[in-house]
Amino acid sequence: MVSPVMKSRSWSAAKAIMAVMLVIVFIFPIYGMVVSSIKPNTEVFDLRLVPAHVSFSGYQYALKQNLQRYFLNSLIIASCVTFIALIFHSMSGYALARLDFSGKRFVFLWILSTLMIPFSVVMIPLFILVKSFGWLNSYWGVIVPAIPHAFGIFLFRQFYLTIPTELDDAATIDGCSPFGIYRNVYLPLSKPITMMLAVSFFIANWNNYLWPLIVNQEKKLWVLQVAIASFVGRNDTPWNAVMAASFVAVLPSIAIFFVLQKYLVEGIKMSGIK
Amino acid sequence: MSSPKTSRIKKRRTNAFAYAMLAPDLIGLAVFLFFPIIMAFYVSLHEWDALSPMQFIGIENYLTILGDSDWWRSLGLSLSYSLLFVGLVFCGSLLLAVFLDSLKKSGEILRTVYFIPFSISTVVASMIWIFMYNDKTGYLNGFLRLVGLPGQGFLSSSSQALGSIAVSAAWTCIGYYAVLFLAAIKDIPPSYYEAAVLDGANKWTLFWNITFPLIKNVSVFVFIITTIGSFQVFDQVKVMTNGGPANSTNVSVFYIYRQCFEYMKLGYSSALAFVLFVIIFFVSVFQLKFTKADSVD
Repeated sequence: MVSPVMKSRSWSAAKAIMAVMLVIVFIFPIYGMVVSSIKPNTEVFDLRLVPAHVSFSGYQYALKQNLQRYFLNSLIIASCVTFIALIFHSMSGYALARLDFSGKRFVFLWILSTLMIPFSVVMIPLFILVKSFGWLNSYWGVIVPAIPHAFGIFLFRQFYLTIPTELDDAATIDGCSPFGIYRNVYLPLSKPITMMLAVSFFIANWNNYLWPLIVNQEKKLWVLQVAIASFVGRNDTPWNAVMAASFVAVLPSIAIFFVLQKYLVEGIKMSGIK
Repeated sequence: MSSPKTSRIKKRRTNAFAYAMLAPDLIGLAVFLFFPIIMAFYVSLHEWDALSPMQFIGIENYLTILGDSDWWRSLGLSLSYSLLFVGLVFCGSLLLAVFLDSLKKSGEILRTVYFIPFSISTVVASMIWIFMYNDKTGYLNGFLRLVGLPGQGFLSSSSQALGSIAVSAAWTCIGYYAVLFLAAIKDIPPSYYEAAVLDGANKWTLFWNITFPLIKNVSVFVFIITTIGSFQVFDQVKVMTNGGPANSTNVSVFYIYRQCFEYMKLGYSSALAFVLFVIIFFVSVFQLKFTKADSVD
């Protein structure tokens, strides 16, 4: 007869094996990318899990293709969108959560309704619009349309609703103006939500492909994702360089993700969809 | 003492302040989302190649769509893709969440590991998977040969390409949805389970009678969001297969993109985009109704 202890022990062993196998499934593709990026191009497809020879020729090739410029473009665009969007959304979130103004319900529902508009539907008119502004082949064309985002406004509002109103009353008695309350009470308390949205906005814009592809066709304004995608179908690009460029493109988002993922998880929990 | 007059002035001040705070976002949403959707409809009533002036042709573009068999085929492909992707992500992330929950403390660390692919862009993920799927020299075929199975075409096979793309896309987001499910599962009071266990329930009945009904809101959310996302798949198709082989991955958004940026039919592609919007909208409404009607409470 199998004792309960033995049964539970074999059960947890099965779970451990399962967990390890899942880790392999999720991580192996990334490992394959990193390993291939440090193989010489003649050995990229040798399927070895440890490179026979270590070579940085892939990275050198990627740098020769001006990878650092595309990296900089991505960094400028993703940082600008994130920074400006956070300021705007926190202002809107504060107004929607704490100010009692006419038309508030309508404004709030209108903002939420824009969530239903898929990007693929507005892509063409947006392109025409940005073109008429003279923003094709410029940072503006990528940055400005990416800023307004109902989701960010909604999450700031949800967060501000959890802050006790006693703080407002105290600040009002101390002679604070409504803007002063926002500036001195709400902004300093916004760290968790700001961090969470900063991670998501930065990663989303860093990873964005279709819109920068359409707007900036001039090579010196390419973002990393567009540059990497351009490697496909060209027979002259060595695969170790493709993997090297991909690894460089992934590093910032994985680094940010690792440092700040607890905010992301908190954000998921508080988004109120549970 | 505040008279009605001063309170009216106060109200007006609050209004002005509120709208000043909202202005940047409201203008942004109006200009870059709301106006374009109206404009999309306007352009869809015209014939336009972006160079010569627009020509009003009424609903002709919409009539063309009805007879455009390539479009209906691409919509069919989107539907197949949607079923594959939503099935994989929904079942995959729910199972993963239940598994992580059963691991207690170590589940927290593993959660981070499964979450990592979420930070990888669609382009890089596509690159990684092109490499993994490679016919002769990819790691996947290497593994299949190692265990004595025949190699597969994956992206180069017209019957496997769509599924291969769905797997690579699911890989990036299963961890994310698992975190959502896990948060909901952790919110269920343990006393519910304890009572059921005393009544002799096994793990299977615990899941179907307690866990699943109590995480219904998250399930509905994941179901709808992944469906909407699946109908909009583009990046992976553009990078991994460019619609091929033999148009087997020519999904709706890719078809629309081609009509616009390759054939310069701006009016027609706007009409297609509008039809897609209406389809996505009704699919979501249907899902919402369907899942509500089934409600336990």
